[in-house]
Amino acid sequence: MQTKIKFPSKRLLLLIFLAGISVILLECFNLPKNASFLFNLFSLVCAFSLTALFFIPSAIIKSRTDLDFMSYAHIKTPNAIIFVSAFYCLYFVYTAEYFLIKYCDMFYKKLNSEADIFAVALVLLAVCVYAGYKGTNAIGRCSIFIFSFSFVAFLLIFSGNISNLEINTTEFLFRGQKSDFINNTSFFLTTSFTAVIFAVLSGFTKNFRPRQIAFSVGITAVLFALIMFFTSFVLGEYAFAQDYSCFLLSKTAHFGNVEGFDSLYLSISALTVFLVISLILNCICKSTGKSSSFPIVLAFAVIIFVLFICAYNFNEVKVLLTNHYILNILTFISAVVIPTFYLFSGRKLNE
Amino acid sequence: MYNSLTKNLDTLKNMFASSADFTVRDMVLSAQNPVKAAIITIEGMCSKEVIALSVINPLLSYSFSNTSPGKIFEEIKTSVLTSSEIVEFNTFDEAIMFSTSGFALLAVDGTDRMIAIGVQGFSFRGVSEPESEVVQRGSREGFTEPLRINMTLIRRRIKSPDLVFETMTVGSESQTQLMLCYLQKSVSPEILKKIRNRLNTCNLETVLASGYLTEYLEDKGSKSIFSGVGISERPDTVCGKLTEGRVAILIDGTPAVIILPHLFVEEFQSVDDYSNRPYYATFIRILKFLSFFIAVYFPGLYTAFAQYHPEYFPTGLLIKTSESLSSTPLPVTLEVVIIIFVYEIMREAGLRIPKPLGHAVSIVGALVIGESAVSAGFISSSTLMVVATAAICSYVTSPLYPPITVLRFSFVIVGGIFGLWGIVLASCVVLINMCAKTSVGVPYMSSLAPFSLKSMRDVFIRADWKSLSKRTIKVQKFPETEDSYADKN
Repeated sequence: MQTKIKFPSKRLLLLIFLAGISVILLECFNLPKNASFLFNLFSLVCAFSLTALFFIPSAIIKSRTDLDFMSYAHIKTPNAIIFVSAFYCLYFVYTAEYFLIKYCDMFYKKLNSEADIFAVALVLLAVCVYAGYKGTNAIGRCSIFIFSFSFVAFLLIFSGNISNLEINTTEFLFRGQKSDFINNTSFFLTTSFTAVIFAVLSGFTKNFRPRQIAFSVGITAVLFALIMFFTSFVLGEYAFAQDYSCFLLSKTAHFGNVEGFDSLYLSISALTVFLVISLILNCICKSTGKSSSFPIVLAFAVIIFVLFICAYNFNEVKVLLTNHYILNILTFISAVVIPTFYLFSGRKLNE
Repeated sequence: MYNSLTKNLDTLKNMFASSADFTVRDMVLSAQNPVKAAIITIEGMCSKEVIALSVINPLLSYSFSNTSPGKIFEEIKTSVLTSSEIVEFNTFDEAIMFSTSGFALLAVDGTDRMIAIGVQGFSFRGVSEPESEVVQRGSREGFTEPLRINMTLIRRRIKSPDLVFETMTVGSESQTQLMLCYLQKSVSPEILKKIRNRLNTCNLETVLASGYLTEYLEDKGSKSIFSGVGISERPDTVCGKLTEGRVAILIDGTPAVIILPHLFVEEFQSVDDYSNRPYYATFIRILKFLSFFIAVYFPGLYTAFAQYHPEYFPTGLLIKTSESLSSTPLPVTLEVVIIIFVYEIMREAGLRIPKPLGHAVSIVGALVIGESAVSAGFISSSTLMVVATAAICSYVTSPLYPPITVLRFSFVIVGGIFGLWGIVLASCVVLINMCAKTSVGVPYMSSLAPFSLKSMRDVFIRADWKSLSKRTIKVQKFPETEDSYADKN
């Protein structure tokens, strides 16, 4: 394992892009019935603008000191680092749980309703533990293959749906309610968890340019917009009654008699969740001050699994763990509040 | 060593435990005071004719002018022996090393030194085309067992003083000689240092083949079913790798030469690619990559689809497959596992038994599995076709056959238990493992991950020689190779 080797920051941003798309792949997101495509697009642009802003504090730290936030905090407040580490570990456990539950729900609803959901979570976590142990560099390299596969898969899903497109001009009118806007924006804002991943892992990277963040967030937004566009103009009214619109899109895609592109959707969702949880386990390691440590990765995977069992046995816990409002608030604290506090308080570091 | 010839001979005899092949030819050299001497050889390792002509005849017919044994010893070295290779030494360890390497040892009474005379004459296999790396165009020469002949095969192709052969010994019992071979201006000193260290720390008793050393040469924490150590029996392949900054390890007694560092994409390159026209070589490259994926995934995906997702089969194929599968008694996973298992048994049997019998095994296999098992309804024809296609595809990239076999088997089992989802996750494990692997500090998946556009001219495509020859990309210059390599070169 090459733990000492820094990799290009472009690859971390690629990882962040892939992690970000898991949000739309796993969300049983119903488009608001009274909101037009243009209205949804507006919420998307707002949410992604906010997401880009979430990256700013850690990007400043990286540009000024070439350090990630945890290393920066460790140098600035060595006595308080234990509390910061503990908070970030809790945040990452919550985020991992959020995606694990969402994925298992999707698995249960769309792939196999007879499967033992605990076994599914356990196998997925076991794979993620292995990846988390191998380190960010290995996950980053792996993301190149996952990106290639996802690119081809999305290309096939979109192009397979072109023949089903029915452009409804009323969707281009700005129509929607305030509550829809808040709901949509909050949902799209969940991708901002990637800003915290960037904050913690940016220390492993080299050749960082702030525009890379804009590009990464931008292409995630474009992909979301494309999915929304096809959802609105292919599924139309049908989309309101169904969840997992991206799954439906992949199911309706076809080239003549060739169908079955939902297998691609199921593969991409598994791959992206694998990436998200592996990255989070890596972030946990980094938060505890280790670059990759098997006991730490394993211990936190066990915690995540125990929480997962609780979530499926107590519905209140599940509701709490899958609430994107809570995730957004925690993300805001982790990505913006704490790093900004560190940036503007205490002694300055030699840059 | 002792000054006494008798004592020296007794010691050597004791060391060899009076082995039957340990032979001593006593003689008396004619001088004013006749001096006793002896030629020590290991039977079968030396040429008797050469010993007689270039050692014994000159010694016995020469009249020594000096009287002291020391001076006679010097006179023998400078004026008597006609052999081209003469080495003086003074330890018993060296005596053992030289004698077991086919040298004749000349001991003179009254001196504590000996002379090793190069008279090697053991029988060996001649230079022939390697069966495992057959090419359509290009050299028909392959490495053979004696080290010196293999060195010559390389030197004949690279007539540059840059080419260095560095001798080492491994195996505490076998004392196997090996040669580190590299181009000193191309190789990374860090890579070379690491390889030397790993060979020096190898604590094997015997080294009989290159496979013994490969595990010692792999990077720590890089455990994988894929090998980070390349093997070739072709001098032209080895020479090509040397020019890219790699190190070759030639081992005495085996035609398989180790090449380091070794990358995944190299498994898809062959000498023929560079002899053929670029467009055809590119087509073959893509074919090889596709074959690799078919060999690994086809049976697993078939099992997963047939068991859990039959809706993914095209309608026509679904009807035929389900008809075929419904008439067999076993579940599809077990069916695929059994066929792969039987196929591997037959392949192994075909490899081990004499060639004429190999055909018989093929016929029995084809008849029993191909005809009888299907017609008896034990297995379905669609399953047989899937496994056969995967088996054929696995031979397209024959160096990857071992990992392909293990992965194919694993994916069938995982696909049978967890379906497509299991295959996706298993692929993640394999990918992470491969991406984390390094070969002497160079990422194993280099060119693909970390991605290098420059290197792509010789990965999925084979660019024409005009572009390839513009700049040879040295292996230590690949992205994310341990920083020190790139900085020092």
